[in-house]
Amino acid sequence: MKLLGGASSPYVRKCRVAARELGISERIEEMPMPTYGADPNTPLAGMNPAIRVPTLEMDNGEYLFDSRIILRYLNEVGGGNLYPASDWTMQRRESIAEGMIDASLLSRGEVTRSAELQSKAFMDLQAVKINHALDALEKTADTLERLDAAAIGTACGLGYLDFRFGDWGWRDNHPALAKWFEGFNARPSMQATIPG
Amino acid sequence: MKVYGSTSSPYVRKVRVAAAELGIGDQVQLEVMGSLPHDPNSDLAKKNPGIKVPALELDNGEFIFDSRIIMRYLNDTAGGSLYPAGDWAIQCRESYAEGMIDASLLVRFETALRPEDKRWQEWIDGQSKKVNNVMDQMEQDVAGMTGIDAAAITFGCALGYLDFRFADWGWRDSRPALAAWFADFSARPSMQSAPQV
Repeated sequence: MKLLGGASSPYVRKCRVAARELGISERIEEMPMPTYGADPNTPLAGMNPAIRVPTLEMDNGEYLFDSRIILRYLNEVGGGNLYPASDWTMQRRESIAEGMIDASLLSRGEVTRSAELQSKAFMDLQAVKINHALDALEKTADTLERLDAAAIGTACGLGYLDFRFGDWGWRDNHPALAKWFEGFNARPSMQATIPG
Repeated sequence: MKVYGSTSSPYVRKVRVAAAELGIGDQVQLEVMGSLPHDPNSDLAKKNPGIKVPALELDNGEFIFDSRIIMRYLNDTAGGSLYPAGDWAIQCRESYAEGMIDASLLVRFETALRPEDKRWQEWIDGQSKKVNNVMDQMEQDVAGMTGIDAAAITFGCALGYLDFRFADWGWRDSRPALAAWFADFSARPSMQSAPQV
């Protein structure tokens, strides 16, 4: 299999971490593929109609996306337990983390606009969402001990926040989450996939 | 169960159409709630930390979100076949159609909510390219879509949203198969029961 996507994308990182945790990373070739700007000539457009990373090229030559579906697929291939059947509480937490990543990416997109096109109001809206998600994750930090899709999503979301918004200061008022992340971030799967 | 959201959101519509197709439409009651502005003290923020619609409130008071997880939950609850096990093609189609909705929403936010002097044409063009690229793929894929599954529902709601917000997009001209598929799908009672307004 080939995983297309760059090392800076938190969605790509989720897949890279999952593959390592599932013990199947040696079966996946990782290939950088930037998406920014939705270049109409990008080869990605012919692989994933939505022109997004990550996109997984399976061994049969077909393509699979997006990160949430790739995670389910890798989990099946690796015979893992990232999505325990009917565990809706876990999926709820996965969704909170995903929303935090989405809002972080929109914030990142905003600060990469030319200065005169940036909107503080828009940044503030995304910050509200990010902080609200952090608050919710803080309340559930004790349930993150299990290694599942929610834990991987949360870790990659926090890692992205540190990567792009190093001065966010989220640890100060989210001590349980900070403590959990310190432990999770030391895992080989995370250390092998540091964004850059 | 209650689903919180607006009648204009394509994500909310997916959930309502899914419930109707699963035969549990009468068990899922729409409680109208907008997602803007993003007030951290809003009722919505108390229900969904992502401050997004839809949020599904279960009879036991717990909440489930987002639309993709709610659809899996409703499917599980009703014993449906919106997500046939191991059928990755359906999930891929669901994913790219979801990407079309996401890109359409970003164009909508950019052109309707952002002050005019802060709009970025290249960004709009990039998102529009994604929307068109997805519809080109849909045009090829609809011939193989016979069942009512998560992909079909997402296709229907993505195209419905485009018609709703961007009526002059003109997507049908170069995509006759998709236009014919959508004409049939939109006539289904599930789609008619959740009009976009």
